[in-house]
Amino acid sequence: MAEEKKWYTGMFSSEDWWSFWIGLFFVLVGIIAAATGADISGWVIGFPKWVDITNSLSPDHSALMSGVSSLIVSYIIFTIATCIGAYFMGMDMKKYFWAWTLIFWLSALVYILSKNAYIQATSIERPDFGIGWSLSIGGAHYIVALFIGLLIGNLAPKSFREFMYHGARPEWFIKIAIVFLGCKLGMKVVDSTGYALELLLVGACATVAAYLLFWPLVYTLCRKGFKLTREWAATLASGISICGVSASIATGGAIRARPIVPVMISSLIVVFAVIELVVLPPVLTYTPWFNEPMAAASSLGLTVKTDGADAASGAITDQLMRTRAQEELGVQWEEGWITSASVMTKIWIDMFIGVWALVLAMLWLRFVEKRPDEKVEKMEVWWRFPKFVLGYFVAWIAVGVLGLTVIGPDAMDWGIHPFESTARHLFFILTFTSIGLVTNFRKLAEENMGRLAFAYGLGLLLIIIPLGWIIAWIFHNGMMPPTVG
Amino acid sequence: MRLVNMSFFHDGKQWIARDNKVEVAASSLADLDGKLHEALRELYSPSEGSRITVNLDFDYSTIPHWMIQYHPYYMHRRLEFDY
Repeated sequence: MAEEKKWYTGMFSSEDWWSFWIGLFFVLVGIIAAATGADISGWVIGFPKWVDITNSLSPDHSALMSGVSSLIVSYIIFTIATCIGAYFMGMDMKKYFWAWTLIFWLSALVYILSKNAYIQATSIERPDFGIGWSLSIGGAHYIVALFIGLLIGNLAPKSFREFMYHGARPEWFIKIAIVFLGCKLGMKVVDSTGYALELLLVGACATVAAYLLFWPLVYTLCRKGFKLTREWAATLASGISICGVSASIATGGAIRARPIVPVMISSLIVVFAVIELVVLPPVLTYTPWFNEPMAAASSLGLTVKTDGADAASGAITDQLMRTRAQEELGVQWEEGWITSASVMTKIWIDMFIGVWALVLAMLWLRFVEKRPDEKVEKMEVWWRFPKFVLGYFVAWIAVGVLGLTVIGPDAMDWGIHPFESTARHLFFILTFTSIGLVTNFRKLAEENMGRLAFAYGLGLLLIIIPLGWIIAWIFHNGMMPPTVG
Repeated sequence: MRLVNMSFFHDGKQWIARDNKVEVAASSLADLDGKLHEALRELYSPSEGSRITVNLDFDYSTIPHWMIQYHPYYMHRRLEFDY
């Protein structure tokens, strides 16, 4: 039976909160390692480039243990952590465990094979590996993981696909990775406070501009151009303009839409997000956007819906652009900043969803539905607030402040790097595999999807992408990723 | 003032609100609220001028499982019925 909702409702039962708990737990482990010098964080498995497969695995602290041991230890520890979360979220533990295990080892295998130096080494790195040629495809492991996931998610027998859904949690995995990403900005505060804060501020400005422009334009297109009813138009406008599936659920709820509305629109969102995830990173890398890498990354936060697909497209763009910069400019940009720019914009968008839902609910009940009996609770803002964002900022501030004061930057980097970088990459590839698994292109063929898909695609092409590019350029132009060293 | 906590969902055709004492169904939320208002009057016999507040929590388990990871809940309604 339903219970009255409290401010702490969901604290131990939602994926959002469990991203917060798991993410911050490992950040705390990293900080303790940094403060005490005890190597309790260096076990995290990394996947370096290789020509000899015996060099394809290495723990973050390479002297701590062998690569194979590190892979097994990482599997055991991350399995325990996510199984604890899965247990409290009421998942089917047996199915979650086996599906997670398959996804983990499949992702690890893809990671190992795709990091072959003939596939990923840049021309500058070739002499280090003793090879004369390479394809120089930065981020190939992400793309391969996505396609393997898509193959299984669309072509495997239905019973197997449905089994894999139990462990394929792209939003959960990416939110844990985003909490780890907070450490990256914390470390940057240690080096340069101004740059990190500038990134934060321009991300906020771009988000406000996007909210004010995207939503009314797409809503008008849906109402006037496609004659959609208010419940369909408002839910679709939020899904495509704000934060994808999350926004379509929040908006559907706010305007009291029948649940079929956000369900159908969400199916479209995840399919289009995967198409964007594949198309936009190379488009941005091999056009003049390459000269504005941070603006290009920010545009992904504005145009690619769902946190997973946005962060994933940021990660691919990060790899592709850094590879091209190294090849053509001889410049080595620091890893992670292009990803950070794409995530930062998205995080701002996510944070405002509660406010947006509250405003829509008040307007809808007062002026559209005219229901005086029903009250809108201000707590909606908190209930809908993405809690992993709190983890992201706590990680940022804790690492930044402690790294600047009692612990010191070198010790902090040593302790936190396994999570800030290595574990983050691991959770990114788990996200890619999972996105593929949950994206079902058959949804597009379902009844009544045609007009919605056309409206969504047109809104994306005519409004969201062009305006997103303009807004991102206005607020981020001239910003460049810091260079190594 | 009495507080009642109920859950509700949509079965594809109509909205259904229920707890262990009462269940009402209607094709629109406005009709559902009207039926609920009357059902609670019959159940609790509220005195004139009194109010019953109803917390209606949408049963999120009726949403496809894969979507739940994206957002913590669908909707929560708070109704105030004056008698």
